[in-house]
Amino acid sequence: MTKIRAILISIILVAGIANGLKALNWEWERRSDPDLVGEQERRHSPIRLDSQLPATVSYAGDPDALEHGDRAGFRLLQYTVAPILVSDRLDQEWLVWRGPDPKAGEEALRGFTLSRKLGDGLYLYHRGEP
Amino acid sequence: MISVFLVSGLLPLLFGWLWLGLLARPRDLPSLLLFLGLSYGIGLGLLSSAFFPWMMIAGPAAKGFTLVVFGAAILAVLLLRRKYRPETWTALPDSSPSSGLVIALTLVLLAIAAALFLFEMKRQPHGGYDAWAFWNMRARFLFRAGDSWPRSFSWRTTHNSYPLLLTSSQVLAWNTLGRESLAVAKWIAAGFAASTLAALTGSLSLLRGKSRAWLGAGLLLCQPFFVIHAASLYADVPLGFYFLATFVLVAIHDDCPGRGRLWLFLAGMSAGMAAWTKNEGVIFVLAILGARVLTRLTGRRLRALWCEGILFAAGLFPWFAMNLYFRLSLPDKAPPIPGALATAGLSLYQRVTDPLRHWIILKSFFREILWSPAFSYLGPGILLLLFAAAFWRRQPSSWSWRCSVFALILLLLGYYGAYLLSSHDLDWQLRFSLDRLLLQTWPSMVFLALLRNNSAPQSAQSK
Repeated sequence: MTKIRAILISIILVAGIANGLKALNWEWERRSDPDLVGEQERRHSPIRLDSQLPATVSYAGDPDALEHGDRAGFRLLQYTVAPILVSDRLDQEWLVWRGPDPKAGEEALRGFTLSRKLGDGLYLYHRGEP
Repeated sequence: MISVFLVSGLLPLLFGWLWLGLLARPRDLPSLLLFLGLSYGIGLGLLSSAFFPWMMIAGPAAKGFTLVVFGAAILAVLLLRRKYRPETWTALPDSSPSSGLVIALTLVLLAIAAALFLFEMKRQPHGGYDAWAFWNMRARFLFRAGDSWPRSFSWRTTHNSYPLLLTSSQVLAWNTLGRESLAVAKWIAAGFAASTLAALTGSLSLLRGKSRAWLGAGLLLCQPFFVIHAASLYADVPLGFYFLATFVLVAIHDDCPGRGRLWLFLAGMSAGMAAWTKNEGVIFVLAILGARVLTRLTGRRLRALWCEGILFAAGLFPWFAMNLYFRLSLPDKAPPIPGALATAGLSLYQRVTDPLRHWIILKSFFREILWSPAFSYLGPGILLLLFAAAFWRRQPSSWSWRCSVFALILLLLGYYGAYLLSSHDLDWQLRFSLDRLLLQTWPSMVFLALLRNNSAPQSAQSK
């Protein structure tokens, strides 16, 4: 290897090491910053991603929110209680309600009992009497 | 943990080994690296692809897949072994020994890469946004949903028509284990990153000698985004592996005229697996086919084009058919969105002829390729220019090399066109995807840059 070639190759690899150290520093800062540590654990905590929620649920909610197919609503549902598939029909054992606090006497909720609140504007219901 | 490693790391490796062993036999460590790298990626691709028809017939939760497929593969390989004589692979002897400084700096880069991978895995245990929002989530849907599994492709789920190589490989591993484990996705990510490195260094050893192999490993790791992104559990590093594997297999075939044409069949399979990993893989298939056809036509080598094309197409066909069947049968279509909303108010003609869109895309490409992409002081373009300055020689490049570079250029032009025609907000889309798209091509860029000149004697080529 000629001298010039060796110098150029060394410059490339040293630049690569500098790139790597910059990235390591970036990673380290995010590890030691208390606001960022475990950011993902909070946003997509194992409780949400790995909980044994029902595999398939019916989905209903505030008519205004559900208008036009409410794609955003379904996505919200995915992102907050991730492993749930949604069904258009109200034929499942479990039902997720999206929207403001469900009012008593909602047609879609007849025969269902509130199981728990999943997140803001998201409620999980189970078919059957309390 | 050991069972997860066995299922998501060792099983695909063994499966690929079985098939690749029909064609090649490594004789030293560098060629063993190539063999292992290709075995893992191709083995996982084959298993995952075979799982799709299984899923369609019996459902994703049906047991016994691994046993059936391995049994059939062992039987097939035993029958085929008499027909094929594997060629021996050895690293090409170097004209000058590898520089100690290059080896030392590459080892430092390797240590940094390993640390970055572990840090990123620890920081984002569920991977980046795309990983938990659809790649891994669809796998959960398929594994948990029982008879409702086709609903995993409802238009309401994100990117419901994305191909299934990664998703199926996770479901298949969970199916074999009998339970879900996040570690499966991590082992697969680690497997593809290591396979890319192994295939790159091994192929350069085989075709250009060990000193190029060390340089190749160093150059690949000069972009830390490669390992950080691998750890984020996205599909871009696996896709980049299949791009590289296709170029490597084509180069192995073209390197020696007497070599068996089955390498082209394998290259077609690898290109098909790329298309089964991500939609960009379809652009890659068109780019590599286009480059081979156009360069053969200009050279008027139509007979050679026909012989090669048939084998490449035969390798590609099962994945083409599977992709088509998947897209026509599973993902349901969303209700139409009003035209003006769907296209951001711009017609196709307006999008293509708007100079501002061209300027925005060119500026972003320039910044990402040449200057400073994520986590870097110096971008890949600058590094490759420095490398070209060091190694450029006035000697004609081979037809095969020019053809592969042409394919890479066509691929980048395809990405450019996709941005130009995109109906999404252009600035947003460039910001969140261009670095990943260019990362897919980085291992192939390094491979082709180091493949150009042959500084080693053309002797002890494998036969």
